[in-house]
Amino acid sequence: MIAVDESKQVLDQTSTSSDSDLSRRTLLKTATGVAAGVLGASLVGRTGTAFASRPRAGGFVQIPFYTTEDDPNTQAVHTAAAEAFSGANPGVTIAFNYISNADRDQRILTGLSVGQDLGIFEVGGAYRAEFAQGGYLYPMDSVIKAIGANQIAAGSRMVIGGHDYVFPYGGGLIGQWMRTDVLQRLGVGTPKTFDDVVAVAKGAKKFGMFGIGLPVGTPTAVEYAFPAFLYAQGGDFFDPQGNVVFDSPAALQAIENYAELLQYAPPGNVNWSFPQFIQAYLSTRVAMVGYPGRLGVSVVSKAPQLAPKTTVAFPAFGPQHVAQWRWSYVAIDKRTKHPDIALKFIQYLFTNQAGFGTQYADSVPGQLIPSIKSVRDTWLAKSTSPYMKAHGSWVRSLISGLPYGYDISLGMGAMAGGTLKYTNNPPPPWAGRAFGVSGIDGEMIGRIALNGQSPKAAQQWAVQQLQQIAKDWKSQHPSWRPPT
Amino acid sequence: MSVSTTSGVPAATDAPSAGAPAIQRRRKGISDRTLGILMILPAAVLIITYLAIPLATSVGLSLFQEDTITHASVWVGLGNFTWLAQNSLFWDSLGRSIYWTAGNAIIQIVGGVGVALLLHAELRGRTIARGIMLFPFVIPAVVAALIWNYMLNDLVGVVDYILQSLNIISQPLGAMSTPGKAMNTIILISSWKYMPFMIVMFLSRLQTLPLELSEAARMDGCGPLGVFTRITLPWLMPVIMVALLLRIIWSFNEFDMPFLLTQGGPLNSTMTLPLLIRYLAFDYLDVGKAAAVALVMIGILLALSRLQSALYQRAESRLQ
Repeated sequence: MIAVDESKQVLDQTSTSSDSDLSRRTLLKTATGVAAGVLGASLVGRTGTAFASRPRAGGFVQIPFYTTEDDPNTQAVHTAAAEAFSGANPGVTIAFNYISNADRDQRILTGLSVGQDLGIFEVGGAYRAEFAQGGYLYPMDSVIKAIGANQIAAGSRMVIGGHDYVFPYGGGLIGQWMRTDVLQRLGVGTPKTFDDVVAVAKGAKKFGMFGIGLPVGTPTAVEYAFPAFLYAQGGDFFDPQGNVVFDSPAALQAIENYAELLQYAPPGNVNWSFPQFIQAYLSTRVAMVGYPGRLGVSVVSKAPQLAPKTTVAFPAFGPQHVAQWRWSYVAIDKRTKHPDIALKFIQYLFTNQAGFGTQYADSVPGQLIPSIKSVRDTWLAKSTSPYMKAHGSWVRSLISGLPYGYDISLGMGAMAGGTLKYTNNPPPPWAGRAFGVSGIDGEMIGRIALNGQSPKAAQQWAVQQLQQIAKDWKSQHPSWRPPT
Repeated sequence: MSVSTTSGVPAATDAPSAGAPAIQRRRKGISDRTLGILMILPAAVLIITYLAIPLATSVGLSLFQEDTITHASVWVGLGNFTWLAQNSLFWDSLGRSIYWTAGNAIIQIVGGVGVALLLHAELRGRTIARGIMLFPFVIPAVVAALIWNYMLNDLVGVVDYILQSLNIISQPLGAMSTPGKAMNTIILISSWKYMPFMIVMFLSRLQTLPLELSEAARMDGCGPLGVFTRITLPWLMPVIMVALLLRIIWSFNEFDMPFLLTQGGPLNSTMTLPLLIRYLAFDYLDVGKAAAVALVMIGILLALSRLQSALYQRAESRLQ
């Protein structure tokens, strides 16, 4: 016999909570409440540029701007322009986000893929066609029309289906920077032919220097150097219809010339990225380096003793007067909530509507040469920058290459005919695969320099790779047709 | 059996009278089973969201040739796996991954045991050494990679400068720029960075080793080597097995150090499978092939985990 009182106590203990215990129901209610609160807070309170560009309380709009131009002077221009624009457009904020050059395109691609509103973003030249193909870009026709299409540098636009999808905000010639003291000691002037370049590179060895800063293994770096050799021979990678034309004698000559100069290059050039070009020249151990205008700015700021012994000229790598000119682009995310405001700011920042066009060019003179003629002319005529006063000749030398500059990221096949014919066509849509971070030309040069492969065999390998890349891309996009 | 009650309320064990339903007493509230399910639900949601769904997506992607940018896709079935099987880039990357993993594991385990023994011994400066030893581990990988890249730079790096100044070498080492040397260099750098973790694990285990065992062994005539091989090493073995498994999994999966140090170069000589995945997804722009490589990696790691578990069990049972 069990006393009821005892059995009742047992039941009480198991089915009811005492004052000091937390019941299951209370625990679950508390946990659910906390989780709901956290979730609600994260949904309601989300901030940041990832979800910007939408009206907030009171009509506040924030436009994100993703860029790799993080030089302090350029950042200052960004900030000033953003503040002035906000003053002129109450309720609008431009939020600059600085991203790394090394993974810019992956960062942008990831953002686009996950639905992040990127607002205005910098887009790699080699990828712009495919981004447009993917439907990510908002047309920029209104900006081009407002500025005037004839004002934009020839060959710098990208027109697909009658629409402009990117804006070239700045660029520069990859000029040949040289030590004038080395030239003087050798008793030669600025190299005018490839043989002259070889002679200087060879002669620099006598002074304990390396002749020329040419990279080997890292494709990004090789794409800053090799294409100039190809264009100087009248060659190209693809023709306007997207067929591989890299199997030409001109291309083979370019490869052989590059390989010949490599013996005068400094060690460690297999791991070069952009900073190493500048580093090589500033180390005072390399007589010649190819780079845009930033090298001159770096000389003045970091190694001023080199400035009087430095000059820059159009590269002379072959019989054709064509070298490499790179443009930098911005685009607008097609899904951004206020593309009209984004377009307005692009025009505000890069033209002289409020004077920022010339300020932008002045921030790194020679590196961000404006694509807009009127801005360029005004800048050259009226720049008050100490750098331009002291070294304006360097900048003018680089600008003189504007009509003769081409690049893998520009309209496909402009050099395929042996001479430069600018178009506003897009680059090959598969350019990102062929010339991106792991480009074919970089590996090709690496096979010659590191594996001892002959230039001819390396060229054949590169041709096969380029053909396969184009074929794979076309099979994935059967509706693509070459631009007419 | 009947139970008398004082309150007049029938007790649970009252025998029901004929025809009357049994009175059921149900516990109020949520059952243990339901509560358990609810408690693990948040973790389950996270696992499904960050593990199961990506895994299923990867399996699906691996059956297509899909452009990373435009998402244009073509069904290829097992075509991506066939492509891998026939592509030397995959096999070379797999070989490098194995070499990278084995190199890291061996150096970190052997080195870790050695340093742990030193730090366990009654040596002067032991306390300071234990603190300094952790230094590489707390440096962020990006910072470590930058520092080593600068130090080993062939043109302006301090290592070559010192060695050439001392006439130890006449030409730059090419530690990071020579295809044959770059992989060994990054293995050493990675081992320098992550060995402290191993040291801490082994040192913790050593500190639980009963001193009487070592003393008894010495009294029985065992030399230092004998004490190490018969007492210390077996004692450490379960932890070594766990550390080995962890190191193998982490190294096989590791993306940071190879990418930060060499980006897979020079000439793909340091491209391991994780870097190959990145290359296929973001440079070759075919996310289907990248997914196929990822699935192959999962298969390899699962097989390794099973093997390692068996070895661990054996090591534990030997101790007992």
